[in-house]
Amino acid sequence: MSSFRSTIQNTVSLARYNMKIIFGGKFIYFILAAFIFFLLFGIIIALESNDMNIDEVYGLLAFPAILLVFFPSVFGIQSDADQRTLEIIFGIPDYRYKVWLVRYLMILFLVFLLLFPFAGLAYYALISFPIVKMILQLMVLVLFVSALGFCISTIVRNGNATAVIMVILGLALLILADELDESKWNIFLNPFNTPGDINEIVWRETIRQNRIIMGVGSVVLILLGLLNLQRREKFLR
Amino acid sequence: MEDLRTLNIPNSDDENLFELQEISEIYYATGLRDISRVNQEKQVELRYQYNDDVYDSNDLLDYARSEIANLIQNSNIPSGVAVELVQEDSGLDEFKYMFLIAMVLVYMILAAIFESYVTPFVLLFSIPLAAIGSFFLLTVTGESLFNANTIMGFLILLGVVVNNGIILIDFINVLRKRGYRKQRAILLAGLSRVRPILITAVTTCVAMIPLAMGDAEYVKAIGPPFAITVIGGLSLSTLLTLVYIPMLYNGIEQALEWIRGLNLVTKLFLLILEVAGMLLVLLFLESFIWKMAAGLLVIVGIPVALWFISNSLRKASEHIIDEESNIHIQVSNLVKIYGRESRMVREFRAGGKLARVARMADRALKPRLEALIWQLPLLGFLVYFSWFYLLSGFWQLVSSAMAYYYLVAILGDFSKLTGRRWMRLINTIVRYGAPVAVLSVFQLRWDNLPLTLLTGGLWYMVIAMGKVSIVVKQNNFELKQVRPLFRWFYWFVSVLPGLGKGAEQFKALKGVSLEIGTGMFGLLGPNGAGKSTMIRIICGILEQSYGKIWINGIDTEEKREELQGLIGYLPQEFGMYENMSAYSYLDYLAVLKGITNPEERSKRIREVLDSVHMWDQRKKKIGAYSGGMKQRIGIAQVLLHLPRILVVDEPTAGLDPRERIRFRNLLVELSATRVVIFSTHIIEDISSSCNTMAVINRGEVLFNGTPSEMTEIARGKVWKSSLPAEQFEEETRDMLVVHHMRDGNHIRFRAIAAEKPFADAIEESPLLEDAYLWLLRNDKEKQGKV
Repeated sequence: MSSFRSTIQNTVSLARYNMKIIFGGKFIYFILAAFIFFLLFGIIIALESNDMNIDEVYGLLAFPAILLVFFPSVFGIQSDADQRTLEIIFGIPDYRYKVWLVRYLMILFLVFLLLFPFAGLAYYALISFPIVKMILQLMVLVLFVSALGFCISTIVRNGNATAVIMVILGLALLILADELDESKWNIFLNPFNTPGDINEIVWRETIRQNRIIMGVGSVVLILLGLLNLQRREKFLR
Repeated sequence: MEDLRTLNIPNSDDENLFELQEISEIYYATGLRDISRVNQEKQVELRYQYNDDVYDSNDLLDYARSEIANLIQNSNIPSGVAVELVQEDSGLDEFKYMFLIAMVLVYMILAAIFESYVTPFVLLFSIPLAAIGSFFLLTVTGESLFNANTIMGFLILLGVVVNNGIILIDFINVLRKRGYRKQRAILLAGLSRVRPILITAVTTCVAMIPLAMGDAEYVKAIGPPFAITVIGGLSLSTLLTLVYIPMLYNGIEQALEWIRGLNLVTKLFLLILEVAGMLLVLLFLESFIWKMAAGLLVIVGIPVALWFISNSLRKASEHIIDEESNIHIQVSNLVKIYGRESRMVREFRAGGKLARVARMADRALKPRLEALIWQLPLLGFLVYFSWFYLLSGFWQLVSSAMAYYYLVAILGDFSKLTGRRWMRLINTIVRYGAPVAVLSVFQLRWDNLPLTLLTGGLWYMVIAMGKVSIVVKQNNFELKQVRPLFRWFYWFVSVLPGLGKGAEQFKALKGVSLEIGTGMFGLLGPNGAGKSTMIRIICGILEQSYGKIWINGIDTEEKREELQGLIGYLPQEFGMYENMSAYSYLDYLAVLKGITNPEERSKRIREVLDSVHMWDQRKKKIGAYSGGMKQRIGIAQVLLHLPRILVVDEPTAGLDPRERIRFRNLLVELSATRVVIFSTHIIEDISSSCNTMAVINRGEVLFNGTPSEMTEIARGKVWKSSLPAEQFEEETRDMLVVHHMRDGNHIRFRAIAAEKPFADAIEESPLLEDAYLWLLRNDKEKQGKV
């Protein structure tokens, strides 16, 4: 069998098994919740706002996107600990990449795919906008939030505690979002919401830097998570 | 004022007029009326400032500058008015170079004295610390950050803060020359140099305080910025010098060793990155402070990032040991203490113990009382500072809280020293009453009852937590003893880090040394002996507290990730993804274990499922299996890929006898070409399969050798005899009876004893089981004597 075919076959098998493991938890409920929230806020925005803007769509899609990525990135390791598979996984060489990094990337890919129907629905029901550009911009936020969740879960090593910390951080960032407003350090910076009082070139530069900061931040957080995962003892109680 | 507000201002094309209040905000301030003239012409200075983001990028800055220039060019300037555009105010630029040259000079002198390029670099790191301290205190006290006086203060600080580091590092070097290990030298230097460093810093800071508090017109302009810069910088840098400089000294040395150990290509890569990074900083950054910060970040950050990335991405490698050579594992003096504190905490505690010993040596009452009396002026100053000098409510509260704790500490010492009842009474009254008094005055000032109550509540909670913490840390404390009403609070304090008792320590391995070569190695011991702990350490899942494990000379602590490629491990307790079928689960693990060829994989899965007799059940969900079946799937997964070291922790527990024998035989087959470490508490498993073995009990190795050698231990100690049933219990009380059987009115038995127990006892050939029991009994007796 050619190596290309076997690679494809392995990738498909890995994807299938990982899906089974991810969906073995409560991920399906989060998909449902995300969809319900999306519908609810979509309807509210459609009814209340006379003059729909593209930046509102970003906000509308950001919440379900974060909700989708939240559970698997925060509870991934905890669910392995609960099923007592952690020690077996630790016995596999390069377990960090083969197990959690693969699952993590798959979740990102899944969220990326799931955002298409959401965005499509918003496109037809609310306002027309560049769907792919919107999803790619959303994915930067999703990447950062999930990397943060993944990294914290490797530090705290407890799903519930990680979730609490993430929620507190999320609230703090939301409060800060008002303070930081149009600064490049604002994680929730809406790239489609061009402010009136800032020069367009300055704004574009701010967005570019914001995206670079979040991208680099995500990579650092993932690497930190991988480094933490080397300390196996901390994960076994 | 109204006229000013409604003053019409034309826009650049003169078409529209705007009122001043529409385009600006008007602030009221007092100042002298003055008209500045240059060359006998009136001059009005209009200052502008870009958005902070603009300074971060050269492109944006150029763009913004050209925008301003365009704006002026395009505006209609009346005749007789000349506009001069000064792009940036560079009045303080000169200082930056003075500062830079000062740093270079300090570096040069230090490098010459220490005869090292690295040590001065470490010492110069105290400067950013000082800057942070100065910056913080200037901000808190509301002084301006950049003026001539703060810069003067900072320049003076340069020499002073480096001093602390010099004292410390010089002594570390002296100790190392005397032959001390690096870590020990750092610790000792820290302990013995704390005093001079603190004395220098405290005297300087105290001397600066009056200047910092100066209120008169000229003193206020010059004194406080200068003194506060020095106090802030010196206090933070002193405190951090004691922790940070030794850490950095150690860290930089390790980092340099790491860089020296890199291969040439990586070194070149690092160099290119450094050069490119510095060029980027010089070309693309405008502001001096950003250049400095980014430059430092490039110098330190790039190697750190490279280390961080290479360590985060460490991977297993099967080729770490040559395929031809036999595997040999050496375990040397392995110790594992569960719940052990981190090194930092241990050293800190050790310091505390030393201090207690030192205090005990100085018990004389009079000198201690005199020392306490000297602290009263400081307390007086704190009170004055909190209540008469400070104006801001928040800082007043912080300072009052400090004064309170200081007073409580002094009173506590007084009452302990004098031992008088009235002193204790005063202490208690002040401890619990002072916050009320302080808060009552605050209430008068703040006039905000909810805030006062909240602050008071928090204050008393902290006091209560401190009290409860002392109780819960006691050894004999039990939550049951507390009245139910307060139990939750005690529980809450006991789980808080630092306030609670913390995890109890348990020594699971006490200096285990073993050698394991190719073949089947059995690890025998009762439950809780430390078998699993040792196995987990060998597999790299737990970290040892002391001791080393080498696999063919490679330290497992250093090459932990890389060595994983050689080891296959089946834990004692494990679970599986229960919503998957056995086949899917094994297929998933086979991919993870690197069997990437799908045909080979399915063949391998078939083989291992056959070997554990589970092929027929392969499609069932794992959740539906019995305990024994799950155990068999676990065994199947460890057989999937056959690494050079196979470690199985009590795999036969829960298997029926037929399966157990089959699995044991399979392991024996596999052990022909690899190391198989097999832990169990079933003696039969060992005697029928292992070439070498070890017995572990209470974390210690009782025996290490071959099973036949072990059997010999019990030679001459195993006896067969028979006793009347009614005498049996009485007569064999001190004997180790292996088994007994009723035979009419008599009981036939087999027992182990050092000497012939009865005249008619017959010596028997020993079995492995006898030797094991004999070893454990001897160990128990030894422990009993201890």
